[in-house]
Amino acid sequence: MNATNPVVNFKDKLLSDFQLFEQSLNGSSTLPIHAIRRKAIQHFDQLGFPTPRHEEWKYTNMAAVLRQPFRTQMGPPAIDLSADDFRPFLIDDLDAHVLVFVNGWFRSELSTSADEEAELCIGSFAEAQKGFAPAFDQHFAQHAAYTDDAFTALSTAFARDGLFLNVSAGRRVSRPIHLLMINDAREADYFVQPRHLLLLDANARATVIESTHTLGAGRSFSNIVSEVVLGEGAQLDYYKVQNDSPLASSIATIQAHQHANSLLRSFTLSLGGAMLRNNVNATLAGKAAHTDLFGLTMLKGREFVDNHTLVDHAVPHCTSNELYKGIYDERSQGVFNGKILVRPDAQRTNAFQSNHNILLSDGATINTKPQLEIFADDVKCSHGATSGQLDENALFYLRSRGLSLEAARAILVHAFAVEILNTIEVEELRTKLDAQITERLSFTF
Amino acid sequence: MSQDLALLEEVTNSDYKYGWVTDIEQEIIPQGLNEDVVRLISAKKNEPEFMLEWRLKAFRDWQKMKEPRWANVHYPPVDFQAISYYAAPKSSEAPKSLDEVDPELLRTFEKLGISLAEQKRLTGVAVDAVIDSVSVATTFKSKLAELGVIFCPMSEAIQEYPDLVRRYLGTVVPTNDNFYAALNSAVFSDGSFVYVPAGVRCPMELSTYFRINAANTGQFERTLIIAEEGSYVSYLEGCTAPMRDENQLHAAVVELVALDRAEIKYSTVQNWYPGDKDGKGGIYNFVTKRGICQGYKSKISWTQVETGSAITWKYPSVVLKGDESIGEFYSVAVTNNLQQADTGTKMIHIGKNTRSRIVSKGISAGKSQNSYRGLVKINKSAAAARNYSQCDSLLLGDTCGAHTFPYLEVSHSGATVEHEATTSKIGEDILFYCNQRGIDTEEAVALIVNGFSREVLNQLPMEFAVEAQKLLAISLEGSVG
Repeated sequence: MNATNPVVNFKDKLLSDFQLFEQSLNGSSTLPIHAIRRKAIQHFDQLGFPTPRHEEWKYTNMAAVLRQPFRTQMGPPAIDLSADDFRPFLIDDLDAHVLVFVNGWFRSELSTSADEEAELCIGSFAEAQKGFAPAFDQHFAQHAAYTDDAFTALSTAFARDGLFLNVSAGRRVSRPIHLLMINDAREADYFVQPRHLLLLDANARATVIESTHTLGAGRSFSNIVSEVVLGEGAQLDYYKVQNDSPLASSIATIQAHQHANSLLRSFTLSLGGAMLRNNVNATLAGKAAHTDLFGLTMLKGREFVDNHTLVDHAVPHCTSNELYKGIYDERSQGVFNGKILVRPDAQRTNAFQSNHNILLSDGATINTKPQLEIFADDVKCSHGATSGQLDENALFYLRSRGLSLEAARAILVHAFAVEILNTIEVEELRTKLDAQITERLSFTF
Repeated sequence: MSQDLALLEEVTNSDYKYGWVTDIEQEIIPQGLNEDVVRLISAKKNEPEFMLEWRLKAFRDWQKMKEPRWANVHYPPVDFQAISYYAAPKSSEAPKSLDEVDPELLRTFEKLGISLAEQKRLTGVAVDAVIDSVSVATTFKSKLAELGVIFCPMSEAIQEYPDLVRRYLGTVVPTNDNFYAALNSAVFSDGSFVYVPAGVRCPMELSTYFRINAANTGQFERTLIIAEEGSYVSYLEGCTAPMRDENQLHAAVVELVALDRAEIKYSTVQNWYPGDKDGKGGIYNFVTKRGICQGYKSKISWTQVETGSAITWKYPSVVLKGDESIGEFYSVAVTNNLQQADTGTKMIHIGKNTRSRIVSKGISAGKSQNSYRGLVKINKSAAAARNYSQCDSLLLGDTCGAHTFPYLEVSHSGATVEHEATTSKIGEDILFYCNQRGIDTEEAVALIVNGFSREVLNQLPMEFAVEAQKLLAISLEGSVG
């Protein structure tokens, strides 16, 4: 291939970064985690960045992002940041544990106090990597497949910092954990790769809100992989909030492994970003596990979101429910690819999936592919997908009662979004998002 | 043979009752494919120069193409050099009337339940019978000619109506459209040609019956149907093949062109030999079918009942180019034993106010895999386009699979696209209800499958609907309990 191809250059840069990284490790390159990293980088080398020729990337061409000259960082950057810089990103009135990550590196001095961290069972990712946490070694890179996904391979190869949460059996983390993922694009454009590992032991419970924010007028590109393991009866609510600058791109992957009776509730709320790709994959590996996947996308300008989900019913008696809604204005584009896989022995599975979209402008596009792959007969599975516009009759009804066209449209779009907003259980987050959506509709209720 | 034994034999053979071979003199060219073979086929057909050029171009494109592998079907690679690309029942001259047709051939079709003698006037179906690569007889030609309707073998059309063929052939499915379409364009030997002049409503069903007879051959037929302004035609095709242990390739291309206010209804009952219980033998059915609604308010409707073939891989499509044109797709695909089907449709909306409707019913039994794969594409120009798709799958047994891969691509805010799919099995309570009323389980399943498929079967012309219903029951025989 042409050596001046910027995408190839970026790949080469990452490969040589890895060599530098290895050299800097000295003694710790003999640790088991490093063997995984080395395997992962080899897979990345073989796979290369995906192109639209790849079925999973058919509608999503990352080249526009990958050809940007992003910088990478080998260690924690010395970035001067104060609480004022990220205050607007906090959720009003929400009593939460706030953990701040800057360019993918944890900043303890900006976060909740160390005592609270201990209470939360948040371990240092860096320490955990050195082999102090057996649970880390047991689960790291065991769930997110780095053999067939280039971005997961890349994340695995460069996994240095991120959230390491280990909630012990029966513990409930009462306050939500808010992860503030801040990318500094004030002086340079960075490619960052935070990596999370969330382990909830039997009957443990936690709520995590992860929001990404870019500082400054530059571009940012993050590749975030979260591995989630839910023990028997554990419950995790995981909110991804993407209301970032129109120059911020990200690949966000959640790979969950669920044991019996566990419950995962995932919320993907995409209100802004240049190029967002979200992969939410759940494997139901124990009886009576349940997965709820909710998504709301509201875009404008030339923004782009690709939501890929996979619910893998590996054992009998599990259920899943999925609802993604999208509102696309101006020249924005959306992709939805939801896959339900029912493995040969997973009898008595109930799996439902819906994807509904509204195009508000002729320049907007939605490509949706709801997919069922079913290898067992005693199942109830269905999916539905629609794309349309606001209901003429409803618009007429509102206008005949004296509302302007804009107001009538705003009410209907808001009503469309509310179905997802109502599933959000953290009230303060719901209020904040509702306010942002209302503001975007430039209408006060 | 005692009566019991006879009965037993009948039951065991009911798996595939068209599995016999007709012993007639065949003319088969040696296996293998190169430019000389393409030239030979063209020469045998005494084709004009433009056809040879067209074929050679397709052949050269084909050589550059790779065999597609994306479908959800698995099979060993096809050796394209081990196939004979031309087989024809031997006869010195083209038969002028049915009296001149080899009686053995007529018996073949009678055995298949298709009488070519015009005694079946009452049924009102005109038949074009194709054995291996060649059309052997076409009935009701003169009656149709009175109305100006042309219904003849493709090879004849190339001789008699070269202008029409030249104008339309390859316009809907270009020679380089895909691997199998290119192959077909290079080597096709016959097929049906239909031309319905403006304002004519074709008074009878037109039907083609395809039969593969020779071993180690592939069947490559090409069908072209042109419906002029304001005309209507209903066309049916049926297919069978002998039981053989080797897989045989069937790669057909069908092109439909509907002009202003014209309507084409195309029905298929596909019953190629599906292979035996262990998946040995059977036809690879890799077909490209596409219609274009060229004119204002034109309509194309595909109905298919797919019960045969070891592997079915086809997506009858409609390009909705004319404003207010309509595309429809009704399908029942049944797979049993080790059959694999990856079938569906494409609806490409280009014109304003275009509408499409997709109803697909998949039934899988045994160890089969049945996939629906469909595309609904709403272009930027397709204002107020409307689509509704429904794909239901029924699973009989826990070793089969049902898969749905719908692609919806919407680029116009005024379009309304709806898709829904369900997958389920026949509920035990329903079977119990039937059993209670004295209907045994196998019959009950047939009843339920028929009900499940009715929406599609209703679209078939009556003679075919009855046959299709029987076919469904036979295909699923032995799949319960």
